[in-house]
Amino acid sequence: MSDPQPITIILAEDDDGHASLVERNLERAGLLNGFLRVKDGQELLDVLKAQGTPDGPVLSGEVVILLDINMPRIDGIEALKQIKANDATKSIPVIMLTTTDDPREVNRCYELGANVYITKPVEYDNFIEAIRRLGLFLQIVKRPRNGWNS
Amino acid sequence: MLQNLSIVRKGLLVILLPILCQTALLGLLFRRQAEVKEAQTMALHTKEVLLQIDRIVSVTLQIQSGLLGYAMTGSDAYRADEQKVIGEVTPLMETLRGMVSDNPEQSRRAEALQRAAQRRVEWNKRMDGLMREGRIEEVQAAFKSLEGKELIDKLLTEVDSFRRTEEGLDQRRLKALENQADLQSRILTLGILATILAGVAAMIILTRGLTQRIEVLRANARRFSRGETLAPLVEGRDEIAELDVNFHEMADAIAEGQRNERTFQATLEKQNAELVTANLDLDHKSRENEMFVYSVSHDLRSPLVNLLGFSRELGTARDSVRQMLEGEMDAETRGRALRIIDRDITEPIRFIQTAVTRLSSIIDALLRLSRVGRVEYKGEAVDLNPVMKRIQDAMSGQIAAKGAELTVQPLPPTFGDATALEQIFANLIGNAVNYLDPARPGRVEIGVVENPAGESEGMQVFFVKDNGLGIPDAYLPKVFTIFQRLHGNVAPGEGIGLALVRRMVERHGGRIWVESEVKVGSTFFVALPLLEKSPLKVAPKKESIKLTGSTPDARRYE
Repeated sequence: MSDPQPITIILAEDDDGHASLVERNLERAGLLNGFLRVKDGQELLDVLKAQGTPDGPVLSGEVVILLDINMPRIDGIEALKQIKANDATKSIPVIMLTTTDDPREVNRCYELGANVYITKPVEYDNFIEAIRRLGLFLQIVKRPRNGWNS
Repeated sequence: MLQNLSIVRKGLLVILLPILCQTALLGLLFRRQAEVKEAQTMALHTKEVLLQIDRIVSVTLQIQSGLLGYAMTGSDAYRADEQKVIGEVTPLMETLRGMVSDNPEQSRRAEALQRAAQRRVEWNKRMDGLMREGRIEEVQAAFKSLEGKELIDKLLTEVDSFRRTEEGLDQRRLKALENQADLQSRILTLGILATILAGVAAMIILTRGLTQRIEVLRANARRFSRGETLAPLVEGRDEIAELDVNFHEMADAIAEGQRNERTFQATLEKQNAELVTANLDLDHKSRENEMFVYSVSHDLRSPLVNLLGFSRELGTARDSVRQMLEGEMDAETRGRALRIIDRDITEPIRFIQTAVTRLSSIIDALLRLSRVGRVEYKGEAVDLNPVMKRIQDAMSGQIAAKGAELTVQPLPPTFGDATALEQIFANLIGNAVNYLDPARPGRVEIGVVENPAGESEGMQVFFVKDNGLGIPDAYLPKVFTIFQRLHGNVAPGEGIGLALVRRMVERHGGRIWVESEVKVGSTFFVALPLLEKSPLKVAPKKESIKLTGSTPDARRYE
């Protein structure tokens, strides 16, 4: 837990309010060292594609994607499919973040390769708890990856 | 002819024909037998007649010899014999005449014979009288004159003649008898032959007619069992023909049954297909409903997350500010408190207001959608041209702001609910204007499709065409689904407009669909059924609807 590794969290979320709430809670959990918010799936795919090019954004350290499902243009499911189908991006952990808890949709996300699925809770306390768990998860997830990389 | 007889009668015929032949033959034979018997009787009769003749000859000779003995001896013994025999002559003659009374010729001869005998008897009596008077010389002289001998000879000549005739008769009868026997045996032979031939012929005719026709019947039975077409009806009116008629009737009945079955089958298949379609439709509707509920729950929860999240944020901010206000307020604390008020209170309030507004408009949209299903539509002839003008006027501000150009072709009168039609076109035109591509001058065109084909054949098809942003192929199926928004940030809205439009078009019994290409533009088509096919109730005539003609009859404009 000491010396947290730099993490870049990309949040794909069309609702500004939801984005703001996620950002505030990530900030409180101390996980906001790298944060990028995009408004839909298309923008997310564009960002991932442009990464590393001279004009593209610089994403430091590990990249984690928080992905909303209901978005205009390209929705979360389609974006997840494309991310997992692309060799360059398929190892990025993806956390599905949405308002519904339809079990069929949950299963579909896992089948498509989502790592974690978090239902956006209406209860604010639960939401914070979910975000905390998310922060913990990110830190746990990081270690072995670093180990393998070194 | 033969085929018209029933088989039983034919069988009887086969039995009766030989029996009749044999009966006729028997009759013939019996007659011949009777004739032969008669001929035999006749032959016997002839023999008896000849015997009688012999007796007469014998008596005659006894008469002569008795007279001669008497004349020579004068003995009364001779005379007694002679007298006795003379008494027999008349009865003998009478008997003979009785025997030949049926034959006129022989009757005549018998008469002559009797006369000759009588003369001789009388001569004898005269001689006897002379003898009694003792006139012997005269008797001798009479004998010498051969008078008596002549009379005897004459008598014998008559006898001979009679006998010859009678014998000839007998000969002829015997001959006839022989001929009869000969004929009889021939008739017998021929009769037996004819009987056999008649039997065989009757049998052949019967069996040939029967077997041929029964074969046809059997073939028909086989065809019948295989469901093939039967041979034409066999001729005749007997049991076979009747059976064949029955077969044909049965085959016809079965064919009729099969035809009916095929009709039922076709009807059943058609109904089945309709059921499948209805099922698919239901399935589609149910999936749509599921999708609708999913969208509604998502869209209702989404602002709620904001409402709860930001009100909690407000609470946190309030606590922080209170802590600061309770403590000493230096410049730095004041600065932090102001930042909290500016950022952590102002922003949540804005989001809460946005979320409440959004919830309220979602609920309004839901109410509108449910109203579309509940409001009763009134069908009437509608002139769309003034409707388009009104829409254009109402949207003139937006159109001007986008720098767009709106063209409306002259539209034919249509049939439907005037208010709903105006809503449909206002929505489509509004979308077209809202989602124009800022990269090029916007053009929106409204018109009618001439002679539509395919699913919309026989319907009026209107279009709203733009050169706007366009819709990606992947998104086309979702265009008419509620709460689906493609260009979420281009224009405000709940993603309910097209869902409403589709519902309204469907209530008219029509269809709506879209053709689109990204960065080229979209064309929305609305197909409306003509008056006869419209599911809408026709509204009572209204004075306000003025069409180009004198009668508000939509059919005139089809």
